[in-house]
Amino acid sequence: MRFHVVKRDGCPLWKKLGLYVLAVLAALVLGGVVLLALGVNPLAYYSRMFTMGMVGNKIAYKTFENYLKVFVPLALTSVALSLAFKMRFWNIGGEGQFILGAVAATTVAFKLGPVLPSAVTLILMCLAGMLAAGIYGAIVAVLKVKFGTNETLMTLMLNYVALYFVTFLGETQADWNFYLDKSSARPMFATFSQYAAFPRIPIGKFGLNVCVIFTFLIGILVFVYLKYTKHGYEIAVVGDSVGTARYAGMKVDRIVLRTVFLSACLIGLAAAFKVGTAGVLATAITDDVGWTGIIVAWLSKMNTAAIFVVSALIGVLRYGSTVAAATFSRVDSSFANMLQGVILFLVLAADFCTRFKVVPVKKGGNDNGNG
Amino acid sequence: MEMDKLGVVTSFIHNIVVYNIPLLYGTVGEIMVEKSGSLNLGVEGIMAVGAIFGYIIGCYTNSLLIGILTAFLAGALCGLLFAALTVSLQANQNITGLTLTTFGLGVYFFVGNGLKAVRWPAMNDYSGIKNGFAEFAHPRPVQAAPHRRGPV
Repeated sequence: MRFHVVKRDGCPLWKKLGLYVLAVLAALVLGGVVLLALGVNPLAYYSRMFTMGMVGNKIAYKTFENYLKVFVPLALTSVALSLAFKMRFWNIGGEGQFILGAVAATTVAFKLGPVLPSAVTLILMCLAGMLAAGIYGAIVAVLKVKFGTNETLMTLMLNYVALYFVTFLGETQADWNFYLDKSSARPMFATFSQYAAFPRIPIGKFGLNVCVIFTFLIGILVFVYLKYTKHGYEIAVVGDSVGTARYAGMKVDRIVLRTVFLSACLIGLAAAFKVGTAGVLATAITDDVGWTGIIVAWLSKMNTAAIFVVSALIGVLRYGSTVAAATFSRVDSSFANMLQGVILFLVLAADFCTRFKVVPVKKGGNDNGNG
Repeated sequence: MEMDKLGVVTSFIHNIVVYNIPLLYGTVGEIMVEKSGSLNLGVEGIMAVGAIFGYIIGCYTNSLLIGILTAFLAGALCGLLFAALTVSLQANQNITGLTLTTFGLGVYFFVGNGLKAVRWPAMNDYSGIKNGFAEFAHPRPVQAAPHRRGPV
């Protein structure tokens, strides 16, 4: 018996969601098998991971604050990447743009922090981060528009340029290098939290960082931008078919440049939020959001509302695994990365089921599967 | 102190070759994929998975050859996963590749750190692989063949 793959038209939403939930559950079961093999009770581990150790914890509000520190850059980066992805522009360079944004914001904090009031410094940090990251992204867009270079490879390579640049800053002890702590014998990034730190709105003991509010605000703005504005429509058309966009008289080059710049800008803003909260630069400042953001944006099908849900879940996965690693010393926190990978593999497989169906070929029939 | 400049240059050039051989293998592998019309961004993950399993199995079996074969197999299985998702299931190549990188590095650190917590197999404890490839028997250089005469 032979089988044909046939396109399925119109898979109902509940069926899609059911398949995705099934895929995630299957990934958790696979992860559970690995945990069992290590002699760890999967249920105990998962409950610790998904509650992030907040149940019966006196300083649970602290845990939630830390969780939001993971969530904000991830959500904002994913939203930013979804802009470019919607246009089928593969911006793999989230890492590099994030790093440059963070370096630019830190520069502003060190240079202007001592002379300007904290609020002005913070605003300038955000602007500097956006500009630096935006230009870094726009370089690739210009090359693509002018010379037709492959943006996937260009952005990917520029990640490493930025990564080694920040590593260089972190390891070079010299008079000009104001990023480092001068009092330390070993090269170490200096903190600037005395000049600028994002304020927190106290709610009881819990302090809600203003970045969280801004992130949700930007999320709403991007949603409206993509759904209800002319620009958003243009992005969708260019993404679906460049030829159609040209035929309709759209200035494709300009749309590509604008969208990529905007996408990278928002990543720079995420970076400014991150350093402005942490108060110190680091080589591992990105926390892999550039990569994870791509996965989040894809998992949520570039839907802004879904991005917030998915990045909240992935954030739980990532932060929860570090919390659980403290209790279960045999399970390394990279378990989250592995699980994340398995989840996406299975969701991609589930995706296939929503788009296609496999039917047996009828004997002797001339049904070629094309209807 | 006068530095042995020539020595530095020599060892630098020598090390370029030594340290970039893995890069070369990764590149050749990727070229094969690209020739077939795909773009596999998961090379890093595949290399990580091959490295960790190849090393550990190589240590436990005390055999360089089995280690290499394991690394081949582990990498090949990752490639199969990529192919199954992108070719058979028509998933997006960029996304699948990047996920493979995340997944591979996750496996690498998970297995590595997990084992380190118990007991990390040190290469020097295993006689079969202690010297790595340095002791691999290679054929002696063939003596120059007699010059061929006459019209070719």
